[in-house]
Amino acid sequence: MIDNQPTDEIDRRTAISLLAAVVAGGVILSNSSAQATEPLPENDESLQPGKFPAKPGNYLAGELVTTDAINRRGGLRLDGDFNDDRYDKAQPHDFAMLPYGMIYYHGAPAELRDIPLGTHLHGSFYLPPKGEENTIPPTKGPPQYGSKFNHAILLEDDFSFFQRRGQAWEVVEVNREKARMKVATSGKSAGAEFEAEQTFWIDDATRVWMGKSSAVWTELAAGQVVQLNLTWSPEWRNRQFRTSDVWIDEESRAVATERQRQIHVRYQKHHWLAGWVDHVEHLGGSKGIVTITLFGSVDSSLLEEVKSKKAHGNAVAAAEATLRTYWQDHDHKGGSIVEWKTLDKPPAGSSGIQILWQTGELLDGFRPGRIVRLRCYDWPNIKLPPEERLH
Amino acid sequence: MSRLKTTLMTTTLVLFSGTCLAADVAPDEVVTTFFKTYCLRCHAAQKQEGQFRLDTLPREFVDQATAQRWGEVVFRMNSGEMPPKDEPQPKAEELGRVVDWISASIADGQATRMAGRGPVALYRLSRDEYAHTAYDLLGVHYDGKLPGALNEDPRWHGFDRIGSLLTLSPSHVDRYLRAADTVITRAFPDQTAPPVKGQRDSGVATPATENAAEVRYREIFWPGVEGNHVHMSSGGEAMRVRIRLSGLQPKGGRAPHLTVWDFTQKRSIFDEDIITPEDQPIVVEFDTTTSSFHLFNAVSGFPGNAHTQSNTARRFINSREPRIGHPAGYKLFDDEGQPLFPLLLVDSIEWESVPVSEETQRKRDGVFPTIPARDANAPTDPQELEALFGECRESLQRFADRAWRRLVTRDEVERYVRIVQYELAAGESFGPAYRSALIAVLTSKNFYYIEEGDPTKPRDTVNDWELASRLSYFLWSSMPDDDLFAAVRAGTLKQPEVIKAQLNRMTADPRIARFVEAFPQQWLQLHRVGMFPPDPGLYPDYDKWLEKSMVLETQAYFAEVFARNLPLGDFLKSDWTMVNPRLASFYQLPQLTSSGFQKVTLRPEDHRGGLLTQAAILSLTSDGTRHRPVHRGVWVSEAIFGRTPPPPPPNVEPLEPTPSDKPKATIRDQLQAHATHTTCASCHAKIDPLGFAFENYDAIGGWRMHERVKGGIGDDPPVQAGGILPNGKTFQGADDFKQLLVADVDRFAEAFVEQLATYALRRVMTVDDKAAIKAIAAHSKPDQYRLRSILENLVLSDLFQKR
Repeated sequence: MIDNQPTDEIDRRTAISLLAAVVAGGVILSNSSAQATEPLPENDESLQPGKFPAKPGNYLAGELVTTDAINRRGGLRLDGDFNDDRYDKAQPHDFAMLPYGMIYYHGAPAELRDIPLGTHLHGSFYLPPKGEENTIPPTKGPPQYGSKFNHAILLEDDFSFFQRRGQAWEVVEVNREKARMKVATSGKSAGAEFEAEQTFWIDDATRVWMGKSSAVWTELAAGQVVQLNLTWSPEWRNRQFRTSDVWIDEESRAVATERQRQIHVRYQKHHWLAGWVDHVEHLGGSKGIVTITLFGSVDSSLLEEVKSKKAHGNAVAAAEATLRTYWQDHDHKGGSIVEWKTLDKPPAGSSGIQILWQTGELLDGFRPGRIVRLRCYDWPNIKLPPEERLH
Repeated sequence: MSRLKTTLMTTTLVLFSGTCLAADVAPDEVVTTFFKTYCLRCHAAQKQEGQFRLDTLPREFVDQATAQRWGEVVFRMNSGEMPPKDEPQPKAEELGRVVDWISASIADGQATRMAGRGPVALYRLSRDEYAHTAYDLLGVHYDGKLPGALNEDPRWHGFDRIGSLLTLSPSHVDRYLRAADTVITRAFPDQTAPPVKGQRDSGVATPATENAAEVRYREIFWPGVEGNHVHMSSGGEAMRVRIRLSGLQPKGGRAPHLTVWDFTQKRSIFDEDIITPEDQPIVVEFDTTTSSFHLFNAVSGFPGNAHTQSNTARRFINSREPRIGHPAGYKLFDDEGQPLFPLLLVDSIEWESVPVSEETQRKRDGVFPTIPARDANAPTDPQELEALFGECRESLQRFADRAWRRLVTRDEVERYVRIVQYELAAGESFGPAYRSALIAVLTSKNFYYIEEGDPTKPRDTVNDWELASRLSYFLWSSMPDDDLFAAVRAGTLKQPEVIKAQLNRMTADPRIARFVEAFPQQWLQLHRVGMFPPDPGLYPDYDKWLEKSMVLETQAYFAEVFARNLPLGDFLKSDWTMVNPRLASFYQLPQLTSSGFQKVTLRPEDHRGGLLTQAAILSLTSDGTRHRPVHRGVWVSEAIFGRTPPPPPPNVEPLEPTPSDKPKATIRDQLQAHATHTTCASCHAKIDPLGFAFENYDAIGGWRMHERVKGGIGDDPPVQAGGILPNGKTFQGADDFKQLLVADVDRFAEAFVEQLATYALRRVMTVDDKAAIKAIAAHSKPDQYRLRSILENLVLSDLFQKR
């Protein structure tokens, strides 16, 4: 079984978890008519271009209902709060991922395109950065049911959210006639609001994973410690969810995580690692040394690979805040990493790795605050499909 | 004494005088002794090896056949054939003196032949002189150097106006006909063409609002990129072009260079380095007869990926915009908005026809009778017709007097009036008919030949009309103006105070720029710059603008010496020079902050100063891959001492490249044979040191301490710039060498006067002129040989009025 939770990975992601651990607006996962908890202070500071956030973001959760995966944007149906009016009139909360925003699925880094529509997600959001105020237009629905925090630093499914916090669910009871499953917190707690027993809808449409293969939900039994992903149920306004997936055992969870990690690694090798430019030292004409901080949204094996292969040189292409490139296989420039720095306690969004990359041909996109994508010498250098490319 | 012997003795006496840097030429006795010792045993009465007798070969060099036989004698001796190896061999020094004597005598004989003149001497105008004359006569810009215009003039040691070389062929006559047609038609078209006007820019970026003015784009020219073609519709008329632009120079980098390129003629019509702040553009203005062109920024050093270049910004608003260019294009400005490359920012290009100025109109007034109209047919009334011919007669007389630069007789003019009569009778309208007569006046030999002398009354001096032409073609490369003609008509031109006044007036006139540009060009043989284009692999920094700037430096330097009337010694050694930003960076001088040529003070570590270490001079003798010290020595000998060394013998082996298993050797090392072989050393001991003094300068005139050698093993060897002159004086490098030249400035001054006289009198100087030349130089010595003084002394001398 592949240990996909190396210690530093946990530590890094624990830091992130602290951000998302703030509960805003009293969203809880329960079918009881629990009261909203005390709202915690909002973080409504604007983000500065070229700077990672200093303070944690604002917690929002909801189901992914629309996605513009190419531009890393989507829409969440924010979790219900027993409000019929919201049920009737609320529009999806449109959001954009920050360039350094991270997405987790099945416990591994992911892209929006990897997440099926309907998956329930937890996220951490900010006001739009300076200059990006018009990226997400205002909601067409009643504003009180939307949120001004529409730029996400983190999105993760329930599997990733709880696993990272060390919490799982222990099956208390499976009611086959009523098609309901009652579960209780197992392991560490992810927060007070998740401690109560929860009841989720479950039926033949639920995917059940055991070991390396599928199972059926009737094989669930009390005492099993599971992870699960949630989706829409007809009673969503009353905070009731249906289980879309259940992972019965550790092995099935490991298999799911590894598969997603492989999907991610393949994607990154074709699209290259994103980061931004901190500084450019000009050496005359088109020569220069570009200081790049790589984003923390990638599997650590990729960063290890960049470090181990740096003697062969790297290619860097100019990109935009959506992480899209123009024609990266043609317009990238070659160069070599002349210095590799590791930060001790990197801010959220940063991988903690800052490189000084020297090139003979600076592109106009190599400017502080602008996004770049970097690959190793032997990663694929291919033309991306036309809908992904900028022009 | 026989005339020949006098000539010979004069020759030897003159050549023997002064403290010479080259070896003294042998007097009669030395030559006779030499021949007796080494030659006459086999080539005299008793024996004639090779059927050749030396004792009866006349020592007379004006006859071409005899001179050629003497040339053969020199070749045999220089190639080491004679004396044969098993006979006693002469020493290098004595061989050198004899070869020198023969060569100098051959040269003198040739000069005498070239300068030979009968009762009437005809000197054809060069292309430039034709064009200047056409302009001064009728205000028409005619470029004689365009392909298909006038034939190229042959050069003699750089001079393109030597009368005996400028011949006339059917091709010349044909081209003069067409040139005259062009000039007359431009000056007197049947209908004045409507004025042409046009404009182009990069368009509106932001339209005007009530609060803000309109913002227009600027076109960015990064190094090497070409602009779109601009087509001005003109029928060869002069157009005035104005370009509004800024030029940004990166820190420590080169200035951007605007080249306006005529792509049909493949030549540049305007060149300038532009350095102005981004927000303070300037307007450059120039006139041209071309009809289309494009702009480009002629600096090298821009990265060459075609895909990235296609993304790179071609237009923008300003460097403070948050997004200046396409992210996948080259970065042109750094993060503080400073340029990373030399950039031209062009706001607009405008053009319009050049209006006919008052001055030009005055030149054309009275040439064309105003009645009848140009498109009218001949009047039918005989009285009217006669009156018309009378008017034509008067106009043509006035025109011919000016065009032929003398009083034209009635008989001569009548021939041209008859042309008008014939044309009208054939049905031609008045305009073309009269133009035919004008064209014929300009196609006469009297126009494009300067004639001196009288067929019936031989004379030794020029008359007043001829003197006026001499003055004007010397100082202005063109015909005399009304002021000069007035002095001639008043009969006062030959008075010394009048000549002096005219000289002063003419040197103050803007047309003196023609002399200031043409004389150094010819004297210093600047036409050879770029004749062998340097290999771009070896000299990647060399481009057309650098080449042009080099030539402009030498011309600007001469202009400065002329303007400030500096002593001749400044041509040899100085602590200043004239550079533009391009040259300043090539010479590694402190970066200039404004464009155009400016005077800079030199420090000893700059290794420049005077003419001899200017890049144009150092590079015009190179062959495209390497410098040629022997050619440099020959150039110094010619330009500075007025002495052309004898030619090398045939079949001299070329220098071999260093074999791959031998240590690297400099060119100088490989020329060791010149020093060790007697036959070589006899001449090369006098030539090579003059070139070795400049070993620290590579093929394009750049400073170096080591010579880059291809092939061979080891490091590039250091250069050796020292040498010994034939008079025994030693020098360590160019600075020492210049010092030695300055110490011998009298010799340089005489050679300079000879060059100036060659230019002024349009003929080769002979032994007969030597005394006069010496006198002019001596006269200028008390004034430290200041340039204007030399000019004045030449113009006031008897030599200047000698036919």
